[in-house]
Amino acid sequence: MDINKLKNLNAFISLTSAVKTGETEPAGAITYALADNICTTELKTTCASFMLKAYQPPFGSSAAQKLKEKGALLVGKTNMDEFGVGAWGKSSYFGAVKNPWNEKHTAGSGAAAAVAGGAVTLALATDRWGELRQSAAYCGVMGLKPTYGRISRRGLIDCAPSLEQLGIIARNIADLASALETISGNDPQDPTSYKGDVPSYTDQLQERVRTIKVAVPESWADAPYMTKEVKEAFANGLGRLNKTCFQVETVALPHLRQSLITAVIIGAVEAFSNMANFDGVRFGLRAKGNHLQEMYRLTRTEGFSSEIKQFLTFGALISSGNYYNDYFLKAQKMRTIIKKELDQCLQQYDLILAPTTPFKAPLLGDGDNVNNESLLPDSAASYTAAANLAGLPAMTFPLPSPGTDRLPTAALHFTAKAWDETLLLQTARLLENEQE
Amino acid sequence: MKLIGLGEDIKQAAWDARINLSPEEETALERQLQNILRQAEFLKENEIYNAEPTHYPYTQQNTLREDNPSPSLPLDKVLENAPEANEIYFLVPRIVE
Repeated sequence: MDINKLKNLNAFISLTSAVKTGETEPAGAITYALADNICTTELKTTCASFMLKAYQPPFGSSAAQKLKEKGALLVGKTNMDEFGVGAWGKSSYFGAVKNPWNEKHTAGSGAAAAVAGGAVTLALATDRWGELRQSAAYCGVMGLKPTYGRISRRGLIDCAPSLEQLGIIARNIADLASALETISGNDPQDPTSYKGDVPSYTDQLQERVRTIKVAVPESWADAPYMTKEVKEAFANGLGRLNKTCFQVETVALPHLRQSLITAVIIGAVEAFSNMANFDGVRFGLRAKGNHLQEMYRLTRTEGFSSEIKQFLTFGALISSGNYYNDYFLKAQKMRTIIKKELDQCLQQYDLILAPTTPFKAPLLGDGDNVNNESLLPDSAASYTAAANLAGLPAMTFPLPSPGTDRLPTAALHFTAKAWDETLLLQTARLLENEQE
Repeated sequence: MKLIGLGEDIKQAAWDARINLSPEEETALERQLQNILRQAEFLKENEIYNAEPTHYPYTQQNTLREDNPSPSLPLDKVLENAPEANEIYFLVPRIVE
């Protein structure tokens, strides 16, 4: 592995001592990276924030522990937007992550850059309203967010617990299936983890798949800031789907376009509550204050970036007074409507297919060309947020890039029934075979 | 449509979140909030009133772990990350302002 070639991408925040000293991993070893909001006792966990720049977790993530027990080697912790909110590369205390295909563009996350750049076999990262899948699409690799509860969330420093999960980024489907099989399963220390059996994903990859019925939302081209090149690339991708394997139909999913705002409102309120413990008392930064309340306030003001401060203030606002009933409670009701709409669609179809993002990886330092504001709302999540609201498994698969600089243009985003990660993996295997 | 009083509500919300926003951050957030609340107008549609709220995508029943005693984290591990602590407590500034 040549970590040095990725140094200029700013993909890693910290590296394990074996990597620093230049030790060579055993032949055939699986190497992995963890986004820096997933705890391990081996390295600091900063959440890419000044608030936690020296935080050493007292325990590690259950999912990472399972990879370790399987013999996989941790390479390092990857950079991301602060606390994983967004995939713009704007708010990390450690600076933006450059895209391995074109360094003028964001990679979205260090996890996706590390996998695409060849530094690791796979990476675990988090997905709140699509950050993992968006960054995988920006970097031309595969990204899977499984069903909510499939992978233990213990050891994840999250900010929106009902939306946020661990997922996997990999370059090929065999590695992704193997990692999912390894890290899935019930964890008594995570009450949200699923008690059902874990399928043998690697065996099921080889099974013959019947014709897959695919629903494409009729509004797929209507997302804010949708670019002409993504429209064309996605339409070409649809046209190339093998007719013997896929039966594609257009369907009405009228509430899909409301999923982004719904997720942002719910996520902000949950973050306001969940991140109240960053107050300088038990861990992380502490600013000097003459009394307790002043210490709280100065710690949070100095420790968080401007983006996170505005995001938490937005969450506090929506939690208060009339805003709670008018926006938060109604967003939770809209979540029910969106979940029902997707579930009903998936009773008739095997998969829902849309573009992963409405645009390719934005230019660094010039995100305003596709989105005037930073966090609220994040238009990159127009197609990905619904799966988080409904807890459904979803996966991004890269399309071949027509550009001369090889920067990925678009990706296919599949959503499946709850607990049916197998079909997502089999679909990706079919597409992978066609591309080879 | 500009929402009346949003600026004051933002000041109160920042206070609730224990955060000091600069005047520039307040202005930027107000602009973003005007935008997002305008886009959230669909939440006023009638169909929403009869829906039940969803708090978690899948609610499992009886998710209690086995009732077996197990040790907590060692005290020294718990206090290791504290900005200020003695041997058994987190230390904080005085509470009275």
